Amino acid sequence: MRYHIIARYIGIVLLINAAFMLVSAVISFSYGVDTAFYPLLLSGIITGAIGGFPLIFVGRTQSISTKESYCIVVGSWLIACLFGTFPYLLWGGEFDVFTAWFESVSGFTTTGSTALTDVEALPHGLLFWRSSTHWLGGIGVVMFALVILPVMGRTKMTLYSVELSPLARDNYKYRAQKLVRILVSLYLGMTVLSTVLLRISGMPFFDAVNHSFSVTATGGFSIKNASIGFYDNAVAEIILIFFMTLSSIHFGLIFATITGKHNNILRSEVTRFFLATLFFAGLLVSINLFFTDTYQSWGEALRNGFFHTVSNMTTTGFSRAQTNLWPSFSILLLIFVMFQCGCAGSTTGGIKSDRVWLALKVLKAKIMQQQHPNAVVRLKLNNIPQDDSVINFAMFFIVVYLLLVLVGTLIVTATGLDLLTGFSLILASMSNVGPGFGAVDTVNEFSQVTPFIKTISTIFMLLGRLEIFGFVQLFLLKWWR
Amino acid sequence: MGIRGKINLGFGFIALLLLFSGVVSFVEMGSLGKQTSDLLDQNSRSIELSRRMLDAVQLQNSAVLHALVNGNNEPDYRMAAGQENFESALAEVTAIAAVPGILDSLYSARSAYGKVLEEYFDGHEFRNSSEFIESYSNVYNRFNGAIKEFMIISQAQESEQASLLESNAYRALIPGIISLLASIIIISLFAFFIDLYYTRPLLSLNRATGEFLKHRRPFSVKTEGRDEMHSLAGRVEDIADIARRKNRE
Repeated sequence: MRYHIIARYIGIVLLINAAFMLVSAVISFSYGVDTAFYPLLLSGIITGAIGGFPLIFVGRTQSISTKESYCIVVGSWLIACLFGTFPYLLWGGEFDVFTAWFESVSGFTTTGSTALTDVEALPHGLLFWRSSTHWLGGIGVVMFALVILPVMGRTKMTLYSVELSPLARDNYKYRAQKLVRILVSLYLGMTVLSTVLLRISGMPFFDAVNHSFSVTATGGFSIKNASIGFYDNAVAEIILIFFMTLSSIHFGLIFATITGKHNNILRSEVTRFFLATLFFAGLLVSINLFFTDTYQSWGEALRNGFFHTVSNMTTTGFSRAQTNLWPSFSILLLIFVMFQCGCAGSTTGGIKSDRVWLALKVLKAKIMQQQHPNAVVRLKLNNIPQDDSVINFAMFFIVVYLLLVLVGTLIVTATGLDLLTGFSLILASMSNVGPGFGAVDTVNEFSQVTPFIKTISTIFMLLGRLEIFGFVQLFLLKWWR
Repeated sequence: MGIRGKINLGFGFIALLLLFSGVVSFVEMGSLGKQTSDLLDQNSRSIELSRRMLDAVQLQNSAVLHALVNGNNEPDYRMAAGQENFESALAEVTAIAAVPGILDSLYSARSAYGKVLEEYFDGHEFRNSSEFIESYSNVYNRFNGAIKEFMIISQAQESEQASLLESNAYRALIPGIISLLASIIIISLFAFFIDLYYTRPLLSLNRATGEFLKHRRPFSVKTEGRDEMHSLAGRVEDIADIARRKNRE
């Protein structure tokens, strides 16, 4: 394995991080040199120096092995998370080592849960950096880095294939080099559009930028303690619901739809399944909220029910109500959608609707085979026949995912947490949702948990973001041939 | 970029980062030192001011005692001097008080004390000396108590600031630690790149040329990058080829 090549690409990722730290420092400066200016400037210089150093020696490369690309992707996530703690640690305030690490991992993995009790105490520059970690994490630090590199398509494709879920790759119909450009343009376009619309809805410009960074990445960091509930703005909530949903759909399909290609959103059975689940879950939650008198009017029940269902299912994690006080049925439905989440090829986490839809098809096929033992059932996804290896891997992934959530729950409940808190904490971390229920609800989030639980949560965030095996392989490199 | 450029730039990075971490440590330590020195100054100043106030009240007290013993209705020089000293100390205390509220009881005790003295020296008829002594001792004790209370509150505030300073000291260490870590990472990377790009090819070139001289065996040296080391390895291989061909001829 060529460690210098790995160092070069991780260095580029760090340079991008440094650029965003310096932009945040400029924002600090523009707000009257607030207290985050010096920490951000210092972090930017240090991160930039370390990121730029390998570029002195290591030149461009035309080929890169799968093993190396795995190391680059996973290494980039870990190192970006590590360097992302610098501005927090240097600023001080509520941040100790564990809180800074938690906030950084939560940002880069687009989980969006916070360990802070008072987010509004952070200066503007630091708030912007916090949202930037979402934005960078959303597009995938590595994939984003590759766009600015004048290297050949093969390198891009190898790295890129690690970043996205294996199911997502089959659906793309573009060349790798073009694909990366499309994704980044689309991502940028969605960020700009959501900023403009949120601003028009009445949200202050700085708030709109931060929330658009968060929503496009399906992150969930808000710059207000009460999250979106602070604004009490129905128009802004509708805009956020739209962008949360859009960001959970396969980016290639969104582009195909915009450009009028045949392979568009409505033709994708996975997207239809995702949207149908989202709609019915939202409707059921709203009905439950109304009939249990949680909200007195249909308007409020629908507004809260749909906002939180979309927020949880798209793994964004914005909130406008204390869902902890909701009836058990609604909480269970929200937990269910936290498993399924959005579509492969988007920035959401979780099992992904593609795998759940495939699992349902496998179930149907098994029943059919029991009725007709000699029948040959070929499973198709979006009219594309799926190999047995893809189907088996998807099923295996679901099993491992559920097992890991169970193991994680066992670990955290062993420290004294109650079952609802422990289970939702692990699930919210693993699916990169953000807040859970119980002691880690939309009000307290992770501010009350111990440093040990914070650390465990970050491990699950990374596991979820890197689709479990992307993370696990790093520790099995020795046996990788 | 050539070898010289790369190595110079590498050393430049290290030097800059070390300089940077030095400056950061210097600034942080300087700031911490200033905070410590300010705290110590503030501490000694508040003790000194409290002492001056107590001395001033003591001086006024001796003037009152002297007047009482001698049966005078005219205070001697000590009364005016004590009052002047107290007012000057109080003015300084007021100027530096972080929380103005802490001086309220001191102001109130001072006016009560002043009022009793004024009444006595202006010829206010106290029924007897013991009546005066009783009211005087009340206001005097209250006044003394207020000064001591001010001293205790000031010390408590300084103790809070000292705790804050302790936390600041921890914070001051973080930039130093981060810069130091960054320096270690860059130095490690530099050592790794020098080894990979220059030391290993040189050693391998040395070994291969030695083998060539002994056994005339053809060789190939693997180099990373496209700098002078790469061309050196290529040229040595070419020289070896030429030598071998000449030998055959």
